[in-house]
Amino acid sequence: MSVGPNLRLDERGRPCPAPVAALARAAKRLDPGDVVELLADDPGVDYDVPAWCRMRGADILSKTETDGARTFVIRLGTGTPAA
Amino acid sequence: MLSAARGALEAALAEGWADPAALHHAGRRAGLLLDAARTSIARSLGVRPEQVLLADSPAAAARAGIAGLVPESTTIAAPAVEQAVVLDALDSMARGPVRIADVDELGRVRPDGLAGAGAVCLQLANREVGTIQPPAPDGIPWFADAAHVVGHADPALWRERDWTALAVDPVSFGSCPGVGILVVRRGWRPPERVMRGWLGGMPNIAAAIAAATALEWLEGHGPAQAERHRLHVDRIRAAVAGIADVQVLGDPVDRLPHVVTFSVMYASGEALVTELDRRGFAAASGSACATEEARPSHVLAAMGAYTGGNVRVCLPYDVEDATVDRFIAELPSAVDAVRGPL
Repeated sequence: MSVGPNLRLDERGRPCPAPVAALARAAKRLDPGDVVELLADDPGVDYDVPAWCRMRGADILSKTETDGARTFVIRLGTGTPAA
Repeated sequence: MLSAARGALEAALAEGWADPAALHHAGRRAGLLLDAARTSIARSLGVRPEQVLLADSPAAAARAGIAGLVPESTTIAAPAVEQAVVLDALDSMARGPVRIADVDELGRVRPDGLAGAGAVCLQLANREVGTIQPPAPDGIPWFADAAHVVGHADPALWRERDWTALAVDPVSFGSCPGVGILVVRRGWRPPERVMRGWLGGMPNIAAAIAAATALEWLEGHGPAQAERHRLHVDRIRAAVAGIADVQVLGDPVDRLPHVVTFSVMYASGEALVTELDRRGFAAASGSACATEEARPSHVLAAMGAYTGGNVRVCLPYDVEDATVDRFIAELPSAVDAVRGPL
């Protein structure tokens, strides 16, 4: 069974640091375990979404890329690095 | 630039402008100045003058250092956080396989990444995040980049390690561009013509004299400068760590004394460096938006660090306590000024 994300963020056309900032704002309102889908086309997300997830104990469930548009599916963590 | 080095540069431009290969009086005088610069650099570094070679730039010194290191078809290993000129040189020059070794989250090479190679390029410390590297595996030819190490770190870091060729960038110790220093040991072979200790090209004698003068100044002043830098950076690291959503990078202890790097999440590196500049602080950034290639620093990327909002501060010699105090005091408001609401 596949469950859709709790929230979709479309940050295409917005440069760094907007996509990760949007992800962080979303994490504030959502709960650990919630799933966020993030669309972005700034190449900085290739580095900074994984780095943010490591620092916040979040997991990247999938990442796909089509014509420069990246789609991350992220399960939020507790806000601190996983043990 | 150190004022002693600038004074020496100006004097040497007047005296040492000629080609040392020329037979006229000015040429001979230039040759003597070049010999004196090499001898002085050798004395400061604790090696013999014949071991010191000079080149048109630190990049040229690095290329020659690598090219003279190994016979053909040897596997050369290098960590992903080597300087771009070293990685580029490996790309274009290596005749055998090149292996790029992973680093940990502090930027330190994972030792198994270098094991079994026929030769290594391994910096003594990383100039971007300050982390000091372990020694290379025993018994293999080693090209060591010592930029930001000589003139800053404990001299034991280069004197007591078993490198084959060592490259030193005079800009990194307060001298001027226009010369690179290569120190070689037994086993290194010159890959190109060397004229009176200069690798190719017309010697830039004034730049060599400036570098020699800076190194001489640092023999007396270097240790005290390093001690002050270390305390300043400890304070800056602690202050930065107190700002929300900031990642302080590099080894907190085993590091260069004068370099501090951090990433401010949810802020643009370009905006932050511009804001700091407006407040009188000249900082650099490894964020993609702050680089010409629009790619983040390969060092930060290899570490898996957060690359946005990156700020790199390199403390100058004789930095005043009040300047560091003001940096620490103003950084939070500089961050607030460029970071949007969360």
